[in-house]
Amino acid sequence: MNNTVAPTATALATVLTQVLQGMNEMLPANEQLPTGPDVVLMGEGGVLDSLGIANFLVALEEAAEERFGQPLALSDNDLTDLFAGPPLTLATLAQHLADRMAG
Amino acid sequence: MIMDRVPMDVLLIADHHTANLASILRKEAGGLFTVSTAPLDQVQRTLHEAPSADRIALVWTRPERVSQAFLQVHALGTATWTEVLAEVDAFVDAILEAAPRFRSVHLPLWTIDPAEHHGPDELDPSRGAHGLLLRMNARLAERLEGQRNVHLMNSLRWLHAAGPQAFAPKLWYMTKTPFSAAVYQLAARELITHHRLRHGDAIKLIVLDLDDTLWGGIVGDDGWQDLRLGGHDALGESFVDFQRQLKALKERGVLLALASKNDEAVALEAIDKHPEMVLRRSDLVTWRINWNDKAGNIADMLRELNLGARHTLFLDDNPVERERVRSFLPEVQVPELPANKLLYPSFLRALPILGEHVQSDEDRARTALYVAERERSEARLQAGDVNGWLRSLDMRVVAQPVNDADLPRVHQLFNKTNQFNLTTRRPSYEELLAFRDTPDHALWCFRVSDRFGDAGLTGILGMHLRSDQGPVVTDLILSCRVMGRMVEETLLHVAQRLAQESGDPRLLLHYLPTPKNRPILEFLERSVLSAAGEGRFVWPGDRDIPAPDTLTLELIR
Repeated sequence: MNNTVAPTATALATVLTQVLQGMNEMLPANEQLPTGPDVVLMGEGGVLDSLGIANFLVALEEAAEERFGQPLALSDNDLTDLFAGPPLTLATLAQHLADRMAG
Repeated sequence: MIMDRVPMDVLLIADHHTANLASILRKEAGGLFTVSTAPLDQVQRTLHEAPSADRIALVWTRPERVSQAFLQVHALGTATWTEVLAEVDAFVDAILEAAPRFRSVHLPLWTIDPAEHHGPDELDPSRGAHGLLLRMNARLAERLEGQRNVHLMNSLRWLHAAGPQAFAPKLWYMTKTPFSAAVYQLAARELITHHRLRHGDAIKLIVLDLDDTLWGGIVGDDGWQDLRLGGHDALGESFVDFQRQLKALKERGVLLALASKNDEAVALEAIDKHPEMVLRRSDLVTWRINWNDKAGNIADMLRELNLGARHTLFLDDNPVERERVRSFLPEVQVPELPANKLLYPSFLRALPILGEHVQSDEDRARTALYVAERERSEARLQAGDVNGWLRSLDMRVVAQPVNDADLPRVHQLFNKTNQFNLTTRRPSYEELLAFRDTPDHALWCFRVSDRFGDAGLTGILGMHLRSDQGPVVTDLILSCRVMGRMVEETLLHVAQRLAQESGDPRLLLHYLPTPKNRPILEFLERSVLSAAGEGRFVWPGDRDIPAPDTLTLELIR
């Protein structure tokens, strides 16, 4: 990919926001998802239910690969570590993914 | 029309997870639909147990779930067509058993991922998964042929449009959702379009530009002899194909009109004289060829034709004109024509324009009816007083009970007439049939003709002749095509005559207001009936309601 960028937390936060916006394009007005950095996505109080998480992860994999030029495999992995900690906000998930992609 | 009504419930019945489809359908439908979901993977049971209700069923199944035999073939095993056929027929039997309990049932064609390779025999209808699937879908279509409220949906179009991402294998394993959001969005839009087209929201009028829209070139500059139209010329051929498609739409009842900035005489000369023109003046219901604002010209034509903007499609190569019409007449449908004119024919073919597949004679002759109306208006100007004008028309009204051959047109009138409609009830075909065949009910239709032409079946009278309140007019419907010519009074005359023959000469009509049916209220208020409050109008039965003397009425029993 020619226009790929490094998978920093900031860049990932942008991708995550875009993924949520893409999901919102498919949802009626009263089911729209919030998109701010402090929005709890998953875990207790999260805005995504189990189907929403699946939609989110699949869309995120595609968007991340397009943006960063490297695969991000989430849906076929054990995500226990992702959900085991405190509730994940958009910002903390972006940092987690940045660490994962760097590592 | 549709948006004025209570939202229609859509029940999703599927062998897979439909939450994504439900969300997308709710978003795409706005207020048109409410959406409910049947229990996952209980298709047969849901169909069998569904209560009778005025709602739509979308039954989306996968071939490998409907047929165990197909599943074996799909897994590169073997099965016989006899085994598959038995399972397909059992599924169709369940659909046909349930269909009368829904307003309509919609079934996407069965699909598997077209990218799947199943070996050199994959199209063999007895051994290959792709071939067997074609045969299953053909059987499905064959068994459902002629079913009025069961409709197959062309899911292959959605797969084609969504491309390689149509199937969603990751989502399938995670949530049992087989398709991507793009497929569900296309399916939702198609269901909405089906619903609108079947309920009177089809395109009735296409307004066309001329230069670089119906032909290549500028007729005022190039002259009609040098237009690019037909011949051994790629562009010329595409314009001829485009015109042929428009002419075919006209034969199906869609009106064609012109809005062009040109010198009228020059443009009409091209239409009359160019040997490759497919569309001629007789194909056009009206035109505005002048240098005035196109949006104003279109508004003027809609007034002339008594048509709503939402039923109108405007095709023009010029983006400025398109934008002008969009902003001035937002309800007119103004698609973006492709920049490359060779794509006009395929673009037009992909537009959802036509409504009910069953076209009545009135639809097919619509252009001729409007031409006759134009001549009628000219006669009115010459005749002076209204009664003299009406007599000069030599009008003839034929009234008779609705028979099976009349039902498609009667159903159509029930579902699209707004202005002169007593209650604006929108019965399904089956409900209409049941009403007609109920003892003590009367369902009559009225055909109107005059010396200028035949307007066809344009009036409906529905009655409950022996209700607790005496004879009740349940339906009084008249096409705007014949309003204001004493046909309204004729309907009342026939209603009272039927009441008298049933043993009670009184009449009761209960007007239910909608945003669009004020014209019938105004008629009732000035008619011989007496207002009895709360929308009720009565005839005491102390004398007969006379038939108008400006027309000839024939009753056929």
